[in-house]
Amino acid sequence: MNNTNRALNRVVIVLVGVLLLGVGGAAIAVGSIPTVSSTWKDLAPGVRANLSSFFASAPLAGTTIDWWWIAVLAALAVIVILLLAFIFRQGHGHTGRFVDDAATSEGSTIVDSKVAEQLVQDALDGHPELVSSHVSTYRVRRTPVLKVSATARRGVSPRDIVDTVETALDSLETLLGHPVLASVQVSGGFRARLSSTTRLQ
Amino acid sequence: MSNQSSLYRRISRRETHSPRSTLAIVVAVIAIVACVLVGTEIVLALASQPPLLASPRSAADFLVDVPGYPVATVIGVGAIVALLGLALVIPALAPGRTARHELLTERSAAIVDNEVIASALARHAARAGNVDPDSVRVSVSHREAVVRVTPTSGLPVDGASVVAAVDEQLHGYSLRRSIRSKIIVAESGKVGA
Repeated sequence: MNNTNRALNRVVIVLVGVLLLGVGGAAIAVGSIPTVSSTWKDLAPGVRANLSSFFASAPLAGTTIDWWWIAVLAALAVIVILLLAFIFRQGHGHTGRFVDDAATSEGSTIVDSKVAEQLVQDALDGHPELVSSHVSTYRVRRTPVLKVSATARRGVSPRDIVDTVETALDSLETLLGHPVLASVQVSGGFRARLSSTTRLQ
Repeated sequence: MSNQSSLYRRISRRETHSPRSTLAIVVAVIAIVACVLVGTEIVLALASQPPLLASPRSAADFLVDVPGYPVATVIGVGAIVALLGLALVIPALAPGRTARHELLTERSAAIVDNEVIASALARHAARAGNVDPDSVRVSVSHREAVVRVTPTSGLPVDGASVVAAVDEQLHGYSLRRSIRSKIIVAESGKVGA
């Protein structure tokens, strides 16, 4: 329900994975294939010398420090900032407004998410087939969607739970006079395991 | 409303597949540490200070000398690094389905943990087989529900009625990805249960 960029997650993992595969593959090639090993022996010192002269090609006036080192440091700093942004970009997507219609000549209607969440929560609290439930609101494609997470008592049919929740959602829709989009998640988990088995048959 | 059903499809897909967030965050943190380390070494080298691990110069020397190291070490380290890379590439490309099923309904995007389906099936199988609920073990995967029934000693279990009860339940849930049932009644019973 949150708006984590999952494609980006996978791209970052693949990039680092391919990089490691490449480094590892190169090391195996140098170790096991004699031609690769001798080519490395021939070329590496030259490459190293070229790099050394490159990093001395634009000295900062009056010092031995080269501009290119500064450029590398700046690039590293940019990568770190992008990675930090990537980490803190995970999750998110909650919204505080459930209905926020465009204003008409009569005025505008705003319903806070809390209203919808508490109404559904109250409707579900008394049901014996649920150990607990939690309602939150997310924005999915710019549309507020209720997320109802219910912990089922052991042995209860998931269909019954979904029907119960959907009845509560229908009531809310009637009450608000506004379409209620929702996702229902039925889970088992630790609390369900500790609770007693259902007596409904 | 096709808009609504496409929205529900998106939610269902996201809720039944792993976001790979944990792995992505771990990878990003390690990459940050590596970048900071490289940056620190560069600054120390520029300020003519002793390095923390290796100065850029000695790191370059190390790489140039790689063919001179023992072959077994080079191949071994290379294999470990390549395996680490593979351990990242595989989960990044695999679908990463979570242990959940999607219930068909127009009203909402309904997702149910396999565990919930299993415990509901267990209760109905126990009733149909006339055994104690603790004598039924159910495991539900993406395609299959395996029900293991241990009979009470002296009371034969009617396998057919267990199969009927489980199949009726599975049919009633109308899962998007229907699952087959497999009922296993144990050869030997359990005393007193």
